[in-house]
Amino acid sequence: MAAQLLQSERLEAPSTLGRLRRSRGLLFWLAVGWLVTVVVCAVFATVLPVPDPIRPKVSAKLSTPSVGYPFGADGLGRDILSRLVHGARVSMVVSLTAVSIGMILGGILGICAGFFRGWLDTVLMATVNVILAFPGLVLLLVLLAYVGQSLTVISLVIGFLSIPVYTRVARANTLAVAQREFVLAAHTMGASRLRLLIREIAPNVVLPVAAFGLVATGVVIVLEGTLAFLGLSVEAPAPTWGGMIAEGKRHLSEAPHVALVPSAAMFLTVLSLNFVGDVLRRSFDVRGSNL
Amino acid sequence: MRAVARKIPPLVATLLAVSFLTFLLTSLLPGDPAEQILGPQSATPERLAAVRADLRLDDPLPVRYVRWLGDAVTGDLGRSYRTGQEVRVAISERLPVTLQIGGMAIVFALIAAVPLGMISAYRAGGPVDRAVTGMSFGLLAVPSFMLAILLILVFAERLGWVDATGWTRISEDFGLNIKGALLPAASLAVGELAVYTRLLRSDMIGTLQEDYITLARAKGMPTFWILLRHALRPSSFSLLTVVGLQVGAIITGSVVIETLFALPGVGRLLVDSIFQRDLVMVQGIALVVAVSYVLVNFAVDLAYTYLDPRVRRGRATASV
Amino acid sequence: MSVQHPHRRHSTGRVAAIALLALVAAACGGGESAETDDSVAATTATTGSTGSTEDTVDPGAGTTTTTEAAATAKQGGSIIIGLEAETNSWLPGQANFGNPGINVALAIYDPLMRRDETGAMRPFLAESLEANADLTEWTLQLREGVVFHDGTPLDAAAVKTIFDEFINIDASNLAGQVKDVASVEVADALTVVYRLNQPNAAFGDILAGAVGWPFSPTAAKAAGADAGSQPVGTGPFVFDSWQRDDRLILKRNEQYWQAGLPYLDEIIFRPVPDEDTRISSLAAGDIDVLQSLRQSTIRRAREVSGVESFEHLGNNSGSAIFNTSRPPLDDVRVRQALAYALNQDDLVEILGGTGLTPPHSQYFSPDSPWFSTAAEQAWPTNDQEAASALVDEYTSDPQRSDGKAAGDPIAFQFDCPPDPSLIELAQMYQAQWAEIGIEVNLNQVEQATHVSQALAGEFDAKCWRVSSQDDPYRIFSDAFGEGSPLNFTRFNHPDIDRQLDVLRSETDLEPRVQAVEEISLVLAEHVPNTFTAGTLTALVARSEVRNIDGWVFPDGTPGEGVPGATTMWGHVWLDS
Repeated sequence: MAAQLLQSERLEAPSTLGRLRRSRGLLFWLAVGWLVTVVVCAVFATVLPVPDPIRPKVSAKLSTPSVGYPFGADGLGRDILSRLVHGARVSMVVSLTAVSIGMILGGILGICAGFFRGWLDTVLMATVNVILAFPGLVLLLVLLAYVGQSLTVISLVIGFLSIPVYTRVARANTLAVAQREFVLAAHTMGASRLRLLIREIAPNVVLPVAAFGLVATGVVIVLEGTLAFLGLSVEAPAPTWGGMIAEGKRHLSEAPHVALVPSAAMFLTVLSLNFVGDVLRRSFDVRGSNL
Repeated sequence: MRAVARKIPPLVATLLAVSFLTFLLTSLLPGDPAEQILGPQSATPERLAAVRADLRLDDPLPVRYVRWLGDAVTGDLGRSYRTGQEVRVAISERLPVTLQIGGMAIVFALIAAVPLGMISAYRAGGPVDRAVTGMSFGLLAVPSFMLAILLILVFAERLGWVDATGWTRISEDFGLNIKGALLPAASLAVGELAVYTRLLRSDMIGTLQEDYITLARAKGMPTFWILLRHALRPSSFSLLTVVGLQVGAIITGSVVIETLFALPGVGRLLVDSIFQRDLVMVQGIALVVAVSYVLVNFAVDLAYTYLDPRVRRGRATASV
Repeated sequence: MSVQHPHRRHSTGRVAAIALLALVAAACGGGESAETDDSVAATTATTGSTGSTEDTVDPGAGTTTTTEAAATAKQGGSIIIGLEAETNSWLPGQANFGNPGINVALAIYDPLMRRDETGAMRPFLAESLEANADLTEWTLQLREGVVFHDGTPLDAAAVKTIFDEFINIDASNLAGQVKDVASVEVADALTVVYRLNQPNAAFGDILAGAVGWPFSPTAAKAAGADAGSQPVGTGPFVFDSWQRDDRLILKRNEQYWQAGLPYLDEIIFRPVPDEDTRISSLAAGDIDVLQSLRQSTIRRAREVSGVESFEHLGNNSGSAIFNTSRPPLDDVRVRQALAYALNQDDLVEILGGTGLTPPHSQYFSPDSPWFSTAAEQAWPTNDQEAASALVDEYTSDPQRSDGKAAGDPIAFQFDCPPDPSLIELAQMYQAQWAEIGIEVNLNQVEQATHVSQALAGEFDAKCWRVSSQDDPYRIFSDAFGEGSPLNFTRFNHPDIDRQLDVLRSETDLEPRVQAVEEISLVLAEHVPNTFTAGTLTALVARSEVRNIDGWVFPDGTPGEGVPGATTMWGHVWLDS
C-alpha cells in the first residue's frame, strides 16, 4: 500500500501554482514546527528529561494519561511520551536511510537514463521494471529471515525497493531539463557531455527529486508501521512508532490511548511532511517536466 | 502492430528475471521445506534426506530453475509442499478475491477522486482546493491497517451493518459478496483516493491551460461540460499509469487487510507460504504477480493512444 | 485399559468451590435456566471443564457458566466456528494438527481413544485396547459395523493399511511418534495387534492423536495427492467443501455409528487469524463459537454479551528453554540465576493472565495428579539475592564456560516469534534478567526459523511451550529423552533416564507418580527451562450453542470436556 503511494507520487505533474510562490500560510509553518520538534526529539532523545523508554514497570501497565505519564503508559508500563521521543529516532533513521538510498541510487540511474538515452536507458528502465514487477514482500521477508530484524536491513530493503520510483522522477526531470535553453546554449558553446551532466543538468534535477523525497519520507514512516503490524519491524525493545501501534492494538479495547497516541504522532508527521514537501516541490518545479 | 511486437521480448525478459530472482531468493531462506513437511518429531536426518530427494531439492539451483520453468511454460506450476494442493489451483482460487478487493478499492477511489480532482483543479488555490488537498494529505497519513481496525469496530461490531470477517463467492450470492468486500475495499481505497485526487488535479490544471480549452470557454460552453468532455480524457495519463502500476502492488499490499478481515486472498497465501517454506507456492505467486503487472501495463500503454491521439511515442514508453 | 490415570482435573474440594461459583455466576448472569442433555447421563462434569475460571470470574462481568443439568437436545441447525488458524491438510501424516485443526478433525474423524472426565484413556471409536503383561503388545479391538463416509468398512485391514501406507512412511510427520511400533498385524477381521520394540505403558496416548484417527484408505488412495483436501473419516460429520483460509463445510453424517448423533445438520469452520477481529466477529454474530489460546482474548471474549466461555487450563505452559549444550547456559549456575531472577507474577500480568493462569513450577499444573508439592517447593522462585550471588560466582570464575574474562557480564540471545503478546513478554524477560546484570539480546524469528533452530540446537534461549495433557512418559521422553529430536534443551540426566524406564514399564499409579516427582525435582535443580503460567484455552460460544463441553463416550462415561479448546462436535446442539 505505502509502496504504491511512493510509486504514484512521482507522476504528479508540475502545478502552475508553484510558480506563483504564494504566501506559505500558517499551516506550512505549523507543519515545519512539528517536523522540527520531531527531529529535535530524535536527535536529543537521550538527553531529554524523559523516563527510560525500555524499562518495564508492571504496576503502571496501561496507565491512562496523568501527570506522571503525560500520554499514559503502554502494555509494559513504560512511559508512552518517552517511547514516542525515542521512537522518533528509529522512524527518522529508517525513513532517512531508505529515502537517501532510493534518492541517491535512483537519482543517479534516472539522470543517466534520461541524459544518455539509447541502450543505457533501455537497460536501466528494464531493470527498474523488474524491481517493480517483483513482489517486494518476498525480498523483505527473505532478507529478514536470513539476516534478522535489524534497523539496517529494513532501511536498506525499503531503500532498494524505492529505487524505481526515484529513477523515474529523475529521468523525467532530466528529459525536461535537457530540452531547456540554458542546456542547449551550453551545448552549443561546446561544453563536454560530462560537464553538461554535472554542471547544468544534475543541479536542476536534484531539487525536485529532493522535494519528492520529503513526501516519500512520510510514506516510509507509514510503511514501517505496516511492517511492524506484520511483526517485521525493528527488534524489540527499541521503540518505533509502528511497533508501538502494533503492540497497542492488543489493548485497543481496554486502553485505546496506547495505540492512538503513536498513531496520532505518525499521522501528524506524515501530514506535515506532505504539506512541506508539496510546497517545496511546487517551488522547485521544472517547467514542462514530462513524465 | 509492429510496436506491439517490439514490446514482447522485454516483457518476456522481465518475467524470466522476476521468476529467477524469486527462485534465487527463496533458496536463501533458512530452514528447509523437508523440515516443515516432517515436523519436529519426525525430522530425522534419514527421513529429511528421503523427502529432499523426493522433492528433488538437492539438485543445483539452475537445474531446478530450468525444470520449474519448463513445467511452468506448460501451465504446470507444481504442487504445494505444504498442502499438496496444485499451485495453479490454489492461486486461481484466491486471485479473484484479491483482485476483487483491489479492483473495488480502485473503483471506489476513482469514483471519489475524479470529481474531487476536477473541482480542485478548476478552483485551484481556492478554499475547496485547499480543503481537498488537506484531506488527501490526511488520508495519505493513515495506515490502512489502523483504518481497517476502526472500520471493523464501528461498522461491524458497533453498528452491525456488515460482517467483520468472511467471504462469500460471487457465484454463491452477489449481494453478500459485495457486502463482505465493502470494508476491506474501503480500507484499501482511502490511500489510493488521495493519490488519484492529487494526480488528476495537477494534470488537469495543465490541461485547462491548453488553447482548445480556452477556445471552448470562449464559445460559451458550460464549465461542467468542458471539464468532463474536453479536459478529463487528456488529463488521465498519470492516473491510468498509476492504476496500472498498482496491479503488482495490490497483491502484496493487501496482506494486512486480508489477515485482518480473514479473506482467502493471494497476499495471505504468499506470506504464509514464505513463512512455511512452501517455495513452490511462493514461486508460483511471484510469477502470477509479475505476469499481471506486465500485462496490465502493456494494456495501459495501448490505452494511451485512445486517451490522446496526439500522444507521442516517447511519452508512452516513458510511462511504463 | 490397563493404564490407570487418576482423576486429574480437580480435587473434590475444588469441585465444590466451582459448583458454588457457578451457581453465583448463573444467578448473576440471569435468566439461564438449568437444562439437561438427555443423552448425557451425568453431566455434573461440565462445571469441572470451566474450572479454570474458579477464582477469577467476576460475577458482575456478565459471564455465565451455566450447568446444563437437564436439557433436551434439539436436532438440526448450523453453526460457524471461528478458529485461530488454517490447517494445511486433513490427512494424518501430512497434516500439522494444532488446536484449531484438532477441532475440525474431531468432527470428521473419530479418535480410537480419548480421555474421560477422570483423565483416564478410554476407548472411543475402539471397542477396547489391551496390553500384554510386559506392555510390548497392544491389542486393538474395533467396533462392528462402523463404516467410513465412503462406505468402506472400518476393519483391521483398513487400520493396518493406514498405518503401513500413510503413517509409517518416510514423508509422514507422524513417523516419529510411532518409531517404537515394530509392526501392525491383523489378528482377525476386527482385531489389530501393535507390536512394540520396547514396553510403552502410554501407548494408548498415541491412538488418541492423529495416528488413531482412522480415515478411509480406499478414498485416500483414490484421491492420491489431493487426499489432504478430501478427508473421509468415520466421524459425526461428512466433508462437504473446503476453501482454504476461508471456510470448511461439514454436513451431518446420516449413517453415524452412534445412534441419535450428531445433533447439528451442518458445521462450518472458519479460520480468522487476527485475535481482535475474531472477537469482533463473535460480537457481530458472524461466528457462533470462538476458539482461542490467549488469555487476553479470552478475557475480552467473555465480556461479549450473550456468550458462554468453556475454558480449560492444562499442563501446557509458557516457557523459556535454555540450550544446555552452549555456553553460558551450559552452566547450571547461570540457569538457576535466570530462574531466580524471574518474577513470574509480572510475566503473567504482561500476558494478561493475572487471576486466570497461575504461575507454573513444573510440567504439571496443580490440579494434575502428576503435580509434585516437593518440586513446587524446590523450584527457584523470585530471589534477586540468590540470583546475583550465582551470577557473581559464575562471572568471577576464571574457568567460566563462555571463555570470557572474569567480571565480564553474561550475555546471550533470546529468540521469540513476532507475535504481539510474545514481543511484550520477551521484553519483560529481558528487563528482569537485566536486573541481575545479564545482557539479553532479543531476536524476533519467524516460526519456521524458530523451530528449525530449536531442532538443530542453534540457539541460546527461546520462547517455547512445554508439556501437555499427554502421559508423562510421552512428555518427558520427548523433552529429555536421550536422542529425542524434541529434546531442544539438550538436557540429559541419568536420574531422568532411570525414571523414564519406570514410566515406560509401570502401569500402577503410585510408582509412576513417584517417578514423575523425581524427574520434576531434577528439573527444578538443573533448570533446563523456566515457566510462566499454564495456557488457558477456551471455546467461547453464543449461549444458544449447547453442550460444548458435555460430550460422553459411547458407553455414557463423561468425557474430559474441552481440553486445549477442542471438543467432540457430534454432541453439540443448537437451541434456537
